[in-house]
Amino acid sequence: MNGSKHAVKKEVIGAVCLMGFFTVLLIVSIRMWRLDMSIPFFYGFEGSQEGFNIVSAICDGSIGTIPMEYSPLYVWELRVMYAVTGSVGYALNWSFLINLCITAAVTYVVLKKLKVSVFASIMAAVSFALLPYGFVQESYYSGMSMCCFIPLSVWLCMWIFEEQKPFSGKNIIIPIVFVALIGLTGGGYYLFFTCIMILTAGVSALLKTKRMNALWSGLALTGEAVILQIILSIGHTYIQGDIEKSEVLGLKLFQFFVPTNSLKLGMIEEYMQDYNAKSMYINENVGSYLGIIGIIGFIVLVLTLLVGMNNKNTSERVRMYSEVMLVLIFVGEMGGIGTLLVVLTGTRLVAFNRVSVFIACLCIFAVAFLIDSIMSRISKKLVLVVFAVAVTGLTAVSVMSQVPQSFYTYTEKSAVEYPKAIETAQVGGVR
Amino acid sequence: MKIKLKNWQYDCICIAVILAAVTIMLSWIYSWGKIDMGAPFYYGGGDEMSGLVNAKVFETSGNNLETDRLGAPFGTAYYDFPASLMHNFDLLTLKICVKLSGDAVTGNNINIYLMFYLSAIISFFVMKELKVKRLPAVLGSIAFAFTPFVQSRITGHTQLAECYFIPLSILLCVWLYERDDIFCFNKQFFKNPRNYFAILFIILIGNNGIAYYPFFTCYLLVVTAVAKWIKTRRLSGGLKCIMAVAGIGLMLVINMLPYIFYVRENGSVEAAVRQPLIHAETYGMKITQLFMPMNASGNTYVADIMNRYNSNAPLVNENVTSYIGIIGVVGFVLLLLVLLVKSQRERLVRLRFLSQLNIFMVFLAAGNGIGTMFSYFVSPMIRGYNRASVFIAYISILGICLFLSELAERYNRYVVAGVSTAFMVFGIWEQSMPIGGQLYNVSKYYSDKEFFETMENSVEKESMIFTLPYHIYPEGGSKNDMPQDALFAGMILTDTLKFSYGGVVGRQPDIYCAETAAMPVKDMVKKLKEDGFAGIYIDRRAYTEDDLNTLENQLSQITGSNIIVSKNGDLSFFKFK
Repeated sequence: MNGSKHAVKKEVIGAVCLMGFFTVLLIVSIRMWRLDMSIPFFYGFEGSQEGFNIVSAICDGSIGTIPMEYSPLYVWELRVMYAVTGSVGYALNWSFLINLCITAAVTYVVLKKLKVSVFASIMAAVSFALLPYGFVQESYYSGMSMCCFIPLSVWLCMWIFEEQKPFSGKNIIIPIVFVALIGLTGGGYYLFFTCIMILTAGVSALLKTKRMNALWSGLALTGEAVILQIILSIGHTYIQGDIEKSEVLGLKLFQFFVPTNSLKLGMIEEYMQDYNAKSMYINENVGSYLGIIGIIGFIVLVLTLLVGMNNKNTSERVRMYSEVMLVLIFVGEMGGIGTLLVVLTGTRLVAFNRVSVFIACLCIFAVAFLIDSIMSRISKKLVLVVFAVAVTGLTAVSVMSQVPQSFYTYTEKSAVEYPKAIETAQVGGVR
Repeated sequence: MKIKLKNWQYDCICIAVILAAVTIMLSWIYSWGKIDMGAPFYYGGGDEMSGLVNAKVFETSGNNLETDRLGAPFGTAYYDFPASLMHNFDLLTLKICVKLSGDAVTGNNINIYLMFYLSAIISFFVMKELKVKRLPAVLGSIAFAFTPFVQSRITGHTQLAECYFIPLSILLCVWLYERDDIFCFNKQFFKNPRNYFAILFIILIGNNGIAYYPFFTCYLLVVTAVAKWIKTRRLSGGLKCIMAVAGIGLMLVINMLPYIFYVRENGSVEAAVRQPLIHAETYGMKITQLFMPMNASGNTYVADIMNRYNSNAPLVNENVTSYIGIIGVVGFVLLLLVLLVKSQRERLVRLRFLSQLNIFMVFLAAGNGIGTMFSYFVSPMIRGYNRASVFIAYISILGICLFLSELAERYNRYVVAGVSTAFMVFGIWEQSMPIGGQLYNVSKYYSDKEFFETMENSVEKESMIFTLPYHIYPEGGSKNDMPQDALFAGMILTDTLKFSYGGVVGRQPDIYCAETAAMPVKDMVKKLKEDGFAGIYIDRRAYTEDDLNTLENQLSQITGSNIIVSKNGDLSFFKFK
């Protein structure tokens, strides 16, 4: 009884620490004190009209015209937020910030379910929730910024890889719900990448353990995903995917390592600007940066690919993550398997750089395992404290380097442009 | 009576089969009956011209980096391009072929055919060393010799089609990963024949593939070093790979000595060797293209897919040659799956290592991967990362051959042999691109040849001829209808004449040409006469009709000589009186 009380207490403390650490980092990294929440963070930038279109559709009652395959949960969230706040700015901004919080919470819970320590889970959750991906997508295609269920995809992989009896009792219900949740966000992209992940996990489990039911459960969940996608796209015109776009919007490995915030360090600023000036096809893929924590995880996973099967020091989970990551890279890379699918099937999915957020999730999870593994080997309390402080500091720096500099300039520009637009009723006079 | 042969006798039979099969393949693909060995295999005015220039220089000289037949009146030197110094083995075979045939064009043709034989034979021995059964080794080696990459590169980038040492690169990696007796500096060092072979491999690799193949090999050796270090947890394992890298590096430095000395004496010409970062992205490899056939083999569905991709995708350039053939594709997928398998069987462990090499090669070559990072942080000189696809092709083919060998041991070997033969023969057919003769209309070559013979007969021996238009070398690009390197034709098709074209951009001969060509026609002719030139030859394709008429009318009036025009009307010549 005492043990269970202690566990609950630990969970509560963990959750409080997470929210505290997350909130502090969020406020500091986005410089929240200078933001007017009634003005949308992103107004007048490339795809940022999407959020406005949805809210406008809510206002004038034409919400039915918004394709359900787009991201139903996001649409519903905006409806609720608009109903509560009665303001476009508040609805868009708060839904974005709430999504970040949910992402951190879901990541934390998934990691806890994977038996990762409270400390490592908090560090990973904060790193993942504040990835530049969300910020960049909010300014391009706001619905894509709702990536809070991506950790569930990783959990699904683990479930397929480790569950011995996937079809027994309650076991199957949770994965079915998770697939549905993922399917209701991400405009089909997140579901597609999740299918790739669970199928890879299924094949991996089959080849390693000769367990056929792993592959069957992967296929069953993929079937569910396909049905869900068909239901969501009913009544909407099928758009043929553009081969050129599939490459232009492809993933660039290099961008995993190009920070989105120089932290006012001249050398990094120069590096960022130089790369973006010299390279081709710079678009929403700038959000692929993994952050310092993610980069460490990426290196760990890449090195894991070189580890022989007989190596007992390598966790099966991390090995599986590296395999899934490899397949995701092959799918998302510029001119990768994703493009091949567009050529062969004409799928409407073309922005394969969005796989970067899944890769980031795997990398950050790998770091969480690494932190736990290192901490379990440290016996001296003082060393443990120093290590924890160092990891916390590194996470904070990583998060600060993740929030894009463009966020500050965009919000400043919005603060000027949006009131003007209201005056000329460009946004339908909705406020 | 059952005849029992020794191993080496079986190997000899295999070699004979490979030689015969390569000959049959060459006869089929290039229709040898229709080939005119006196005309170049390809003559399109592109990169192939530099190979022909090399062959022409070898007719009379041993050093292809200096000639007085280009860059007149000064002569020219090609030490500015480090890449030209890094395919010495290929130049050696070319020189031998030219000397034996007594003719640059024929020698160059023979050299092109020779590389198919060399690739197949070297690959066979490597596969044998890696315990591939003889049947898949023979078929796999033929498949490698005729990869789409090789078939499509022989027209322009012959130096890259000469990829016969790639199997040695892979063997070196496998040896260093699996064995501890390579580069082990103890008393046993000289008793281990593999050490001698490894050193020989390093020398050969360092002298092939215009810096690309040595670079890719070094990268794979670094990957091997990390894998070995992780495997053994000892630094020494990885260090041996780094020593191999250092060995190849040393070869490259030795090869570059002429460049270093030349640049120290004459200064460097950045314009000649400058490569922007963007090239690494533009010429990166795409995974899609590994699977995208170059030849539809009459299948309309495949043709439609090829057409849809090539006409819609951006950055489709020389990377179309990345296709690894159906054998390679199956091998590639198989190696990916092997990565997921848990087994300690010797062949599977080896397959797993090959899989790791393949994956890291994709990381390097695929657009915006490690290659672009290298280009950004270290040097943009290596830019055509799609060229690593031929390594992926070989690793994949080797992978499938190892897999078939494993199957032959586990299951009925006759059934496996039958199935694998059918598959491999189909694969070789599928990846072949029969062209039935030379890749261009040979009459074009003979038109040029006749024109230059007339020119050579009309002037004194060793006369200097000024070339118009002024065109930058290298990377001048095409000018109207004139291909990039078409102006080399004069040097290739005459025996003694000296041409003004061919000076390296920024060097004295180039500056002379640029300044002279920019003069008013009258002054230009006057200056050229003073400098001892005997006439002006024009590649008419470089001009618009009006510009050409104006130029030729002026030259006719000023020189007072009759214009000589090639049969096909592409070239013209004005002799100074």
